[in-house]
Amino acid sequence: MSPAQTQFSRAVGLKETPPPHLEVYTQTLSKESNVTVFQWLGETDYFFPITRETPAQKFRALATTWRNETQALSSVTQMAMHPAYQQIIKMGPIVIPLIFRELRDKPDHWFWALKAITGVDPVKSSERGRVKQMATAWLRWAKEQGYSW
Amino acid sequence: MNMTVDDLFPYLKATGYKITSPQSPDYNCAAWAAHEDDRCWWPDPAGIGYWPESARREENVEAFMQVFTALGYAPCDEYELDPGFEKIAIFVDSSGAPTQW
Repeated sequence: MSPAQTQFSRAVGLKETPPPHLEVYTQTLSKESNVTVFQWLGETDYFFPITRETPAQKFRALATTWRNETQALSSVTQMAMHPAYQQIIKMGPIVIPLIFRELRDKPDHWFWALKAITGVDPVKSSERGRVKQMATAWLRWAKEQGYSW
Repeated sequence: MNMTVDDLFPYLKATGYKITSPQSPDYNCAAWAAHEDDRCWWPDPAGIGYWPESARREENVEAFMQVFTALGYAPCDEYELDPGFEKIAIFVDSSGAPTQW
């Protein structure tokens, strides 16, 4: 049995070895999606997603956790060090448009994450601490860079 | 699910408090102590929060005392309410870093 067949059998809970005449291969849709597609070629072609959680879903879940668990905090540092926030940073550039959407709809302390992921800071020193102005500065920068959200 | 004020601060219930404004990310307790409600004050290392340039941008009581002394506050010994005086309390974590007001 090929490694792909073994992986497929484990994923779907098959105890028996897949029929040898059926070819199984795995394909990761994208580095960011974490969705692995198993395609079993043979009499029937079908896809078996191991997880349907998209980066957007993962981001939204983490953002909700972060918001709920930091709502009484005053320390900007503590907000940014929250495990959910750190996981969002760890997701990397794929979350940037999602953060911009959040900033547009409901400005909040996403600046540490944006700075950490992009390595830039378009906020003027006179705007520091002013959430709405900081959000505007980042959204302006985002448009200049060609982001859409 | 968002926690309510009662969930977050259970001892407040007995005080008969009332909510005077909605929750906002626009300011924090340090800003409130500085009589501002349109920007967050914090000396975070990433440079996100506002912090007076004349003060050390450090998360310790000394840096906070420096800022609030410049705003007219002075250290005092009593915790009780003192008519005619505004008092703030700086809460720190186990490492000595300020966390709340």
